[in-house]
Amino acid sequence: MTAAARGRAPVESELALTAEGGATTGVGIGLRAPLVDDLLDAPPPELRFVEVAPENYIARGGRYPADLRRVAARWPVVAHGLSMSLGGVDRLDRDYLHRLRGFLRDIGSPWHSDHLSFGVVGGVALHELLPVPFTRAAAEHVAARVREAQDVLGLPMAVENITYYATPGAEMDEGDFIGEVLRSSGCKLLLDVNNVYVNAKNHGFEPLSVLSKLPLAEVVQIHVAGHDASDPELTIDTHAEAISDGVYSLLEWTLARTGPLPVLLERDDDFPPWSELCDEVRRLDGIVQRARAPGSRDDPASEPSPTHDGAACRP
Amino acid sequence: MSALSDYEARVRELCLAAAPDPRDVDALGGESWRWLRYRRMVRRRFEETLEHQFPRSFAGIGEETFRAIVERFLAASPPRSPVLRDVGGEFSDFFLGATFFALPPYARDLVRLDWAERSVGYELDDDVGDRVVELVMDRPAVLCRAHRLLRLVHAVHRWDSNAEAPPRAAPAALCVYRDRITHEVRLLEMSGAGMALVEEIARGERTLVDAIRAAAERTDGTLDLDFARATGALLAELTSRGLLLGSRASVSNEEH
Repeated sequence: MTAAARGRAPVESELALTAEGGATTGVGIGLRAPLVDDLLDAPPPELRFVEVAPENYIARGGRYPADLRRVAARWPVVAHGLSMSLGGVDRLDRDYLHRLRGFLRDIGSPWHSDHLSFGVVGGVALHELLPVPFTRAAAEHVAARVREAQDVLGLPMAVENITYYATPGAEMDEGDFIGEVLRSSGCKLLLDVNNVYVNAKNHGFEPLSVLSKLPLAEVVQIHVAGHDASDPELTIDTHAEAISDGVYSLLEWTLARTGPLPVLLERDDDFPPWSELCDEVRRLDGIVQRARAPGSRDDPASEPSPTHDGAACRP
Repeated sequence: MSALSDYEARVRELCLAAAPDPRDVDALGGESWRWLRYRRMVRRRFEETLEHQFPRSFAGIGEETFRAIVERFLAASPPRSPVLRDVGGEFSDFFLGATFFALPPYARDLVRLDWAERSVGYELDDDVGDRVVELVMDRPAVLCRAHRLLRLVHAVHRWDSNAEAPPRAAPAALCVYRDRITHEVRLLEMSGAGMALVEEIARGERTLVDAIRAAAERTDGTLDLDFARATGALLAELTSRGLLLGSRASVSNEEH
C-alpha cells in the first residue's frame, strides 16, 4: 500500500540514487573527520558519492559543517542515521525528525536510512544498535514507526540490517523479518553485506541463506566494511579493518542479482594510509562495473551458488 | 507491545546497572555471554567517548577514579542525549554535582575546562544576518556563540599532564573560543578587568558603554584615559579574534 493510499502525505521525493537512476550509482565513502583532507586532496576517481551521519552535523557548528559544505560541493551526499531507534518503544523524537528533515533537504539526500534496531529505552540513550526480536509484533511495530518517520521527513526511508550478537525470542528468521518490515512499511532496504557475513559467522549459518530470502529488488544501497575476526568466540563489526574477501564475494553475489547500486565503504576507525582506502574503492568499483555489464545479472530467484557459498562465506 | 517494552527495559538494565542482574540475563534467553558482550560494548563506548572528551580530567584524576565516576554516572544518571557528543555535557553536570568521591581540589576545574573546550568546538556558528551592525557604544555588543567564560581556582590550563606535579592553586580567568577561520579552539587568559567587561557584554542587557562602566565598578577601576585606552585595545583584540561580532542592530532584538 502506498503512503497516499493510506491517507497520509505522500513522500515528496523519488528515489534518485537508485541503480540506473543517475551518476551517483557506484562507490561512495562514509565521511569521517580524519578522512576529509585526503578525500578533498586526492579523491579516488571512482568515487561517486559520500554518506554522512546527520547526528554529526545537526545543531553543530565549526569544522564539521564546514567540511560537509566542501565535500557536498563535489559529490552527492546521502544520509545514514544512527539514532532513530526504529525498534524502540519510546515515542519517536519529533523535534529531531523535524531538524533531520531540514538537514536532508539541505544536503539533497534522496532518502534517509537508519537501522533495524533500538537504542533508546525509557528516555535513556544507549548509543548501541541493539537487536529487535524477530517477531511479527515487532515487525509491525517497526513498520509503523518507519511510516511515521517517512511522513515527517517527507522522504522515503531505507532500513539497514544490523549485526546482532544475541538473538532475542524469534518467531521467524532475519530474512523473513526484514521482508515483513519492508512489506508493511513500504520502505526500502539498505543492505549491509558485512553485517550478513558477521551474523553468519557468529550464529553458524550460511550468509546466502539470508541474502537469498531478502527482497533484493527493494535494495537501494549497500554497505560494506571490515570486521574484527581475531576473537574466536565472536566476530565484531568494527568498521576498523579492511574488507574481507568473503564480504567482497557476498557483494558480487548480490550485485549480480540486483544490478549496480550505490555501494558505500564504511571505515570508522584505525584508518589506514589513504591509498589503501582508495584501493578498496577501486576494487569495489570493479565489482559494480561487472554488475553493469550486459548479461551479468543472475536470476534473483535462483538458488545460491554452492561454490560461492563454500569458498568465501563460511567462517 | 509490553513484551517488547519488557525486553528493552531488561537490556537497558543489563547494560547500565552497576552490576548485571543474573535475572535479567536469564530472562533475555539464549547464551548469557552474548548479552554480557552487549553490556561491555555499551559501557566501553561511553568510557571511550568520555575519555576522549575529558583528556585533562582523565589524566589529572587518574584512570581508576575517572572510570569509577563514569560507572556511577551510567548507573545513577544514565545519558539521555540521542547524540553521543552531548553525553559529555551530561557527564560534566553529573561530575560537578557529585559529592561521593574524594577528588583532588583541582578536579572540578579540569572537568569545566575540558567541557568548555569540547562544547565550544561543537557550538553552532553565528548567523548574524542583519542582526549585528558595526560596534557602537550606545547599543549592546554581541559576542560570538562559540565562547565560554571560565573563572578557575587552579591554573589547570597551564598544567602539563605529563608532569608529576599537580595543577597549582592559582586563580585564572579564561575565555575559551573557537577560531572562525580554522575552527580551532583557543584559550585567552584574561585580566580581571578584561574578564569583567566580557562577562558584562555576555549578559547582553546593557549598552557597551554601560557594560564598560559596570566592569570598571566591579574591578574598582577608574574611568580615566588609561582605562579607556586599555578597553579600546581589548575590544580591538576581541574583534580581531572574531569573538566580538559588533553591536546589536536593534535594542529590542534578543541576543543570538
